Amino acid sequence: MQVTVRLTGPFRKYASGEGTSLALSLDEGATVRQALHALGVLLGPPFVAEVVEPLLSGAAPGILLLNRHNLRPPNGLESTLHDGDVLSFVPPMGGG
Amino acid sequence: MFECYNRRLLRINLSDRTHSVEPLDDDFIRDYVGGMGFGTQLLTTEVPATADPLGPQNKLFVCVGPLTGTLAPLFAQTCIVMKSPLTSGIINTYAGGHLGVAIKQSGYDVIAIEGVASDLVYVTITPDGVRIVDCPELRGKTAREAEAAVKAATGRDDLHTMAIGLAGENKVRYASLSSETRAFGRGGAGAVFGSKNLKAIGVAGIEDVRVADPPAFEAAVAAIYRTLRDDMARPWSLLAGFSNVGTGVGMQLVNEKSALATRNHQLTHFEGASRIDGAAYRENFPTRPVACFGCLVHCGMLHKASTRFGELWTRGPEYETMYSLGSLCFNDDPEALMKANLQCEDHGMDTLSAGVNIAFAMECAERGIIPADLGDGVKLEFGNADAIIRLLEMIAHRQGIGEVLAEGTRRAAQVWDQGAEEFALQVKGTEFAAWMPQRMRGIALTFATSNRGACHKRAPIGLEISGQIPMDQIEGRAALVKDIQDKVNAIFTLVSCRFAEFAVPLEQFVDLLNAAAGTDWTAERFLWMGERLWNMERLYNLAAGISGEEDRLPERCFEVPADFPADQKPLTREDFNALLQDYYRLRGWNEHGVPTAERLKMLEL
Repeated sequence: MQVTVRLTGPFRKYASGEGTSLALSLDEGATVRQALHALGVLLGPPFVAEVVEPLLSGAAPGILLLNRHNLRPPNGLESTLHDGDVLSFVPPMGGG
Repeated sequence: MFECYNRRLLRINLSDRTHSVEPLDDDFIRDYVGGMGFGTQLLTTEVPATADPLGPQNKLFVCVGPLTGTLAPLFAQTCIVMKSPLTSGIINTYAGGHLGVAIKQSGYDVIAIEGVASDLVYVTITPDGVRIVDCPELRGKTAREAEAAVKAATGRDDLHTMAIGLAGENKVRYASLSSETRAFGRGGAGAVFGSKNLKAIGVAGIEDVRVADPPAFEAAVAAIYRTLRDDMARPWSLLAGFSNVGTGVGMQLVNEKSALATRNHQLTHFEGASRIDGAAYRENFPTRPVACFGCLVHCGMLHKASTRFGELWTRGPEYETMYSLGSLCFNDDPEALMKANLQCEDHGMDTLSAGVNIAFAMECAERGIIPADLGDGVKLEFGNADAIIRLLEMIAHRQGIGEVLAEGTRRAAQVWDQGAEEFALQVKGTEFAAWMPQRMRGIALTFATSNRGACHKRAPIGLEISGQIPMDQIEGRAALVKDIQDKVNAIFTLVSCRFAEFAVPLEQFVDLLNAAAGTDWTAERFLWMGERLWNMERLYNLAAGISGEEDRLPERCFEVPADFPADQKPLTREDFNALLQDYYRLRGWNEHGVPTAERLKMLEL
């Protein structure tokens, strides 16, 4: 199945040439956690260290959306993905 | 006690060209703390509620607070309280930078400006004294030119300034006051300066800044630094994002959640956002961060660029401007947005109100309510950056339709009629800030009920946009809005930067205040003080003729945008009315939004 990954704002730098909207192919029934690992393989060590690991450890809340809704680690990481889902990496926002 | 205060008010009378110094007594200082507190008490007692904001009776109270000029970080703001030409009600408006510390060091807590000068003047306040100087040569100059001229005239490098541009001289109702790299943006302070024939003020001082209890203050400062550093060290911290690319860092989250007002709130998502967000400016234009006094976040981003409009050098655009002159006008051209930002700096106009007025005009043209031809082949239509740039000039000069738009969207909608009122995005006369009531219930309520009109500074934005509470639910929302309104009022007496509240717990603000002033505020009493100020403003606005009827949103907010997310609930009038009545009840107001005797007694009003 195919999931769209959107890297916005400062997250664009990890895409280097791939564009800011990527198509990610995953097995049926893959979870968000598995998608993060697949992205890490695709985008390389800086993405893993600076984005994936903080997300997995719960240190970076609010930066990952699934179909416009915030994912809440750790439970959110076990969400099952479906064909056509959109995963967005966004910088945080507080107001003003 | 009260060592952190100068205990002095400088009163400048522009009509007589005199000035005098008045002491601030202990009761006043204790009850009103500083900043917004001082200004609110002074304005509500000295300026009649029905005074014309652009007439001779209006006054400006330029106020600093107990923490201004101290080592505490994120307390560089200066507060101006006055009657707003947009709302005709009370407004508090802020700018960071270095003006606040200059005022504190000049030996005053408040500078009160009243009367009308016979000709264009500037005022300087330095250790040599107070001077009111005729300056016909500065008429028509940009704010930056005026500030430089005043600084040169005093020969002082340490002079900090604020000035109006052409928009203020022409009394555009949302004219701003530029202050070096910052601005008193909202509410029309520039127009009030213009109505008084006041072009600029420069302040310099050499007084010491003291605190009541130095060891306790040092400990409280160390604590807040720890809080801020810990916050900014977190991966993807918001304050760290501000520090790296400016306030535009948050645009993408809002856009990805389909909550970014686009095309005059016709849409919720802007494809062009990636071209004009904070990261885009950081990557594509030479950028230098600039800090307010004592601030480690340095969210201000100076950009310099060679563009098709020439060499541009401007601070911003800020996030709010990326909306008002960007997505709202369907403009994704980063060079044009920079140019528009600079025009607003030079002419001295609030970028929010200016952008909303332009988007309003674009929709009016689209609907055939006004002609779309701006002359020289420039077509007034969404997405046309040339139209934005042309209109900003026309508004500042009050030419053509700029004459109507200079009055603000509420008045423009009355002039052009034909249903334009429905998509004039304003509450009480103040144009919307960069948020969608259709998407966020807290925003819907605070836009409708804020004393200064459609203001976002007192909204639970972080909680809503981060998804910690659902954006489209009303359960418990009124309580959150009331709490943040009171809390922000309280910290704006100190005078805190809005962003401090994102990371710093309330107790730390109170610790700093108590150590600086020698007082014994508790967090509860401090919030009570904020609520008291909110009600003082409300009473004044009611006396000014702004009733509970004005606690409402334009029709556009109840229309469902074409790209509205399918799994989200649109804002209904039923929901809004329920929210409003819930809010009135929590505030201790009757069903018409008037404070009850019981609540006034509790607030000692």
